[in-house]
Amino acid sequence: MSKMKTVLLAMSFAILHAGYALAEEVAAHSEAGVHEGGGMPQFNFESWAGQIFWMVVFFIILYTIFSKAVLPAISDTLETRKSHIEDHVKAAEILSAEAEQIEAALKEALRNAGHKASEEIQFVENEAKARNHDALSSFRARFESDISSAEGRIAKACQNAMSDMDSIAADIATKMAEKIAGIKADPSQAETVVRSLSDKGRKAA
Amino acid sequence: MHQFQISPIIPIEVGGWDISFTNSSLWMLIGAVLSLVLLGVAASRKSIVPGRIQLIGEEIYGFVEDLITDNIGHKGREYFPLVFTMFMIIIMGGMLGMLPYSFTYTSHLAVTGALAFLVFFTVLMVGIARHGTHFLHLFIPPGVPGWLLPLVVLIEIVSFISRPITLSVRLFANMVAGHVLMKVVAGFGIMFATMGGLGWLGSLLPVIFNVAIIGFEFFIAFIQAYVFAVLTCIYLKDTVEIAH
Repeated sequence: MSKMKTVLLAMSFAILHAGYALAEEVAAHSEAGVHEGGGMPQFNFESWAGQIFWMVVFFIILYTIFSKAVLPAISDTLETRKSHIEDHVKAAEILSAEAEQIEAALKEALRNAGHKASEEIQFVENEAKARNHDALSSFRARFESDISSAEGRIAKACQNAMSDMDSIAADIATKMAEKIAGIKADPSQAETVVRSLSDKGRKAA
Repeated sequence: MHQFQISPIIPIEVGGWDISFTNSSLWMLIGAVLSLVLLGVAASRKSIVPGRIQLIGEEIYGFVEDLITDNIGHKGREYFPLVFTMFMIIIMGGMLGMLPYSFTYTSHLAVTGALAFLVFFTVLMVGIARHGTHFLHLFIPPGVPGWLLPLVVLIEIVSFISRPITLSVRLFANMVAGHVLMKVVAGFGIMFATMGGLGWLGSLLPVIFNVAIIGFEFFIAFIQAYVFAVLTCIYLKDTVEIAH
């Protein structure tokens, strides 16, 4: 790096020397009243004071206005924009956090509602089952008592029918004995005989 | 060399010094007014969503700001107006110089030298004021063996002194070379065109070439302003911290 700088230094010295030589030539020409002579106008040192003066003047003017007015204003605008964007980003973050909270609350509420609904469904179902069961069992009890009373009635009717059969048989036997053998039989005696016979038969069966 | 000729517009002489308002001063004035109008408008808009002009101003601001933070660090903010003014003056000089019949004030060693020495003396004065004799450590790199030290110190001093010269000559030479090249190539075009017959066909090549060169020269105008600003930052870094 230093080597390169030294080379550049040497080169710039060479250019400066050439400049001096040219300036001398130009000066010689201008003394002779020839302004448009050869050589670079850059090395006409007569113009240097003016150029440096005006450059310094404009530099000071620009520096002052830039540092006092323009740059603080632009910096201000950039800061404002940055804080504006940051504020909005922050607000968006807060809102999104809120939205997340609300979503969580919503999910919680949904879950709770689901639980409650299934509980209620369970309750109603259980109740229905119990009622169904009650109704069924009361129906069965009534049904069974009906059946048993009906059976009792049938048995009674059967018994009645059987005792009727005995008296009919005794009656027939009395009438048969009168007709066939001409014997007058006592109907109540006959009935006793029939009843004992049917009791015997029933016992044998 | 006529394009580099300085001609007075308003002759002024103060104490034997010729400080006439010349065509060079005129283009400095145009450049200064233009940059003030551009940046003034850009700075006064203050809109959250920038328009075109405001965006240009903010882009230049951001560009120079990045240049400073990259090359000096956050302590370099105090030099922001200096580097910014430097950059604006040089880029305006180069860009306005591309206008036909204009004058490129950065094509004169007096102007580039004034700017370069401004940086040089800023570094020197702020460095000494801030670091005192410690500033001389700039010339003594660490880890150099004793017997080599005199030579290294000499080289460091020469390289330090050569800073304003390289800085000014680089800019001036680039501007001059570009404008001379454009003029020479344009001269070829005119030469072919005035040859008569089908000679005008020969001027097509220099004209096409010159179009490319002009585009390239706009790039050079920007690059030189950038290089000048970067080197200014690197030199100013010595006033903020001495690396050794």
